[in-house]
Amino acid sequence: MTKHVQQYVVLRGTRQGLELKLDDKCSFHLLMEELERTLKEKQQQFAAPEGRELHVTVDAGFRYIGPEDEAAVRRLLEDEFAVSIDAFESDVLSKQEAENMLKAQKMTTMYHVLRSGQVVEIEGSVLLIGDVNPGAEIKATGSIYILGSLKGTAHAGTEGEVRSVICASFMDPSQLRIAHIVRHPPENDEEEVWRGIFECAYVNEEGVLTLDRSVKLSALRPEHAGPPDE
Amino acid sequence: MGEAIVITSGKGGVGKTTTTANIGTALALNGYRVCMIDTDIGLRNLDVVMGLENRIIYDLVDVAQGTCRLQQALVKDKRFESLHLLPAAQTKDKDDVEPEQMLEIVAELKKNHDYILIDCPAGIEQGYKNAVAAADQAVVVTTPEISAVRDADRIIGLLEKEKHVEPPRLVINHIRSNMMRSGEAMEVDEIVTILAIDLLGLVLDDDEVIKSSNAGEPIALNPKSKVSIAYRNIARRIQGEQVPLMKLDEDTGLMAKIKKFFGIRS
Repeated sequence: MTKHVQQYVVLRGTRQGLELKLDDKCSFHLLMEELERTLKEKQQQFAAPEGRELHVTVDAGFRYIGPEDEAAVRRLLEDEFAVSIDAFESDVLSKQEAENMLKAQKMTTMYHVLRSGQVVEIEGSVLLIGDVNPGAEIKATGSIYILGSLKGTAHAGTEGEVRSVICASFMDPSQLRIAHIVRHPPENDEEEVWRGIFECAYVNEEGVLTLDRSVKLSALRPEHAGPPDE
Repeated sequence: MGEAIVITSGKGGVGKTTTTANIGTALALNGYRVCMIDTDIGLRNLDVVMGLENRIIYDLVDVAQGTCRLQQALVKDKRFESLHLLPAAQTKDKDDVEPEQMLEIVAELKKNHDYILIDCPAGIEQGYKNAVAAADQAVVVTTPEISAVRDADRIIGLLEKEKHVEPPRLVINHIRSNMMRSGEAMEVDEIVTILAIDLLGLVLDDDEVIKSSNAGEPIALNPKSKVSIAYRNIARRIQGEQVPLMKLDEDTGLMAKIKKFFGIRS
C-alpha cells in the first residue's frame, strides 16, 4: 500500500519561512515514516543553496509531543536531512508545563523585614512590603519588587531569565544579580551615586546590568506594561 | 508569675552584662523581686560586675544537673534583699545545659520573682539557644557601630522566629554624642530605621560605668549619673511606664532630630 488518501505531513511556505505541518490524528510511528518519505521526495526540490541550511518551524497541531518525541523529530530533520528547526510549536501543553508556567507568572506578596543572614527564595516574582537589610538576600526566578529599602542582595531571574528586573523604593544594595550577571556598587563614591536615585535594575541589550528610574520600565519591558496600552 | 527577659546582642563587648546588672538593680530599686541568670557558661562576668563573685557556692550547671536545689544556688545581692543572681559555671561548657532545663529553672524562678533577667552569651550557638529558650521578652543591645548593628539585625531575625518571645526591644549603648554630631558614628535614627524595632533606651558612653563595674557596684545605684538615670528609665519602661527619652546632649540639632523622629512615629 503506497497510496495515501490523506497527507500526514504538509510542507508549506509562510511569511515567516517554511512550515512543516504535522497531522495530529495519526499514530506517531506513521507520522515519522511519512515525514521521512516526504523529506526524501522533496529533498531535491527544497534543497538549500550551497553552504546554507534550510530552516523550518514544526507545527504539531493538537498532538502532544513530549521531550522524547521532539528529540526523535529533531534527530530525523537535523541529522539526516540537515534541516534546522527554528521553533517547535504545539497547541497542547502537559499539566506539568502548565503548572511551571503558572508558577513563573505567580506573584508572591510578603510583609517582612529581611534581616542579616536571612535568605528568601521565591518561584515566580515577589512583592516584598518591607526592607531587605544588609546581609540579607532575596531571590526569585522572576522579578523582584520591594516597597521599602533594598540594602542587602537581590537576585532576580535565578533560573536564567535575563528580562527579569529588580525594583525598590530605595535602592542601596550591597549586590545586584539578574540571571548570571552580577553588579556591586562602586567602591569609591565619586564614580557613581546609587543611593536613592534609581529605583530599578535591568539587563540592557549589551548584557550590562543597568540602573535607572522606574518610569523607564514600561518602555524597556513592554510585555509587562499592562493596561492601558494593552 | 514573673516575666523572663533575655538580654542579647549577637556581638560581644557591646554591654549585655552591664545592661543586665543595671536593669536588674534598677528594677530591684523600684521594689520588684528580680533574679538575674548568667548563661555565659565558661566565661561568667555578671557576678563580678555585681560584686558577688566571692559568694558563689553552686551555679547554673549544678542546678541543671541536680547537684543542688535551685534555692541553694541563688546568690543574694549585697544591697537588695529582693535581688538574686544565678551564676554561670566557670569550669564547664555551654553544652552542659539543655534548653529544656532552662525552661524548668525559669518556670521555678517565676513563682517567686517578678522579673527574671537572662544574660545571654555572645554568638548564636548553644549558649544563645539556652538563654532564649525560656524568655518571654527580649532586649537587644547594640552600639552605634556598623558591626554591632549588623549582628543585632541577625539576632532580631532569629528572635522573630521564636514564637514564645514578644517582639524584641532595643537598647543603644556606648553612645558618644560628639561622634554622632560629627557624623563619625551612626546616628540613633539611622540605627532604629535599619533595625525597625521599638527603642527601649539610649545609654551614653561614660567612664564612670567602667569604674563602677570594676568596683562591683552597678552604676544604677548612683542617682547623679546620667547613665544611671538612663538605666532607671529603661527599667521603668520595662515596668510599662511611659518615660520620654533622655536628652543625649545639649545640642539642639540632634535633639530636634530625635524628637522629630519619635514625633512622627507616635
